[in-house]
Amino acid sequence: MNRRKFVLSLGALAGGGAAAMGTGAFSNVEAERDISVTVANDASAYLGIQPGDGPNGNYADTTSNDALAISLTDDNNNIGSGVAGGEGINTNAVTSIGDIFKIQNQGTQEVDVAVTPLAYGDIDGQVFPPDIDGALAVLLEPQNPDEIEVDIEWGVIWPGIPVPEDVSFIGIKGLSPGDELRFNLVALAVPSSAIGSVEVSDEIQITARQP
Amino acid sequence: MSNEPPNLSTYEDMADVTFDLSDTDISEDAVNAELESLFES
Repeated sequence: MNRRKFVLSLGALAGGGAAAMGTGAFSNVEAERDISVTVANDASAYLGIQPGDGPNGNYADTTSNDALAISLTDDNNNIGSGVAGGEGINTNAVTSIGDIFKIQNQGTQEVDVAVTPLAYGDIDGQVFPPDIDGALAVLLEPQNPDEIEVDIEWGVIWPGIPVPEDVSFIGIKGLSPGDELRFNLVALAVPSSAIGSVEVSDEIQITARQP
Repeated sequence: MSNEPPNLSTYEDMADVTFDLSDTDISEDAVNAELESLFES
């Protein structure tokens, strides 16, 4: 089957300190798909990782671990009930999906957050000399930092948050309790022969720390 | 507090990559326009 895959998986692991203290506050949260141990599902954890509120939230799916996963593939369980049959992005086009997922501080204290990576890609062929059968790029973008009055730094991490291994990340300063930062997705694939030749199946890591 | 919307150059600088769209049907301006339109400033 000719199709293009894009899967971003999100999960949540709350810091043991907060759970042990039982205060309801959290000082540290790290979320990564490979870490399948969860103390709550993504929707109700102190660091909420949830589908967007609008129809584009249907591009976010739920894994067997109750972790949220962005799935622009034929594996999305919302196909037929929210996604009307689409199984991938178009070639030779810019696909933009606003408000696809959100991060919400559902704790009691302001936190600083790092999200990485924000750029994903796949190439079928060789770059030098150029002989590309397909190229796919997927970008994640914060949507509403000014609305919730957080400061976004591109490629800069805030003190106290470990520097991510991936070089593409943002630091989010001052996510207050109750505030939610929404994310958009922009993807492009070229040329038409990219169908079936390129895909992205990766992870996004979200780290939150008390300042 | 005011955050500027990103553009392709933002991601290129951050990820140390180059998006060469010169031989494609997609223009860099079109991508940047999408990034700007989705960003609520």
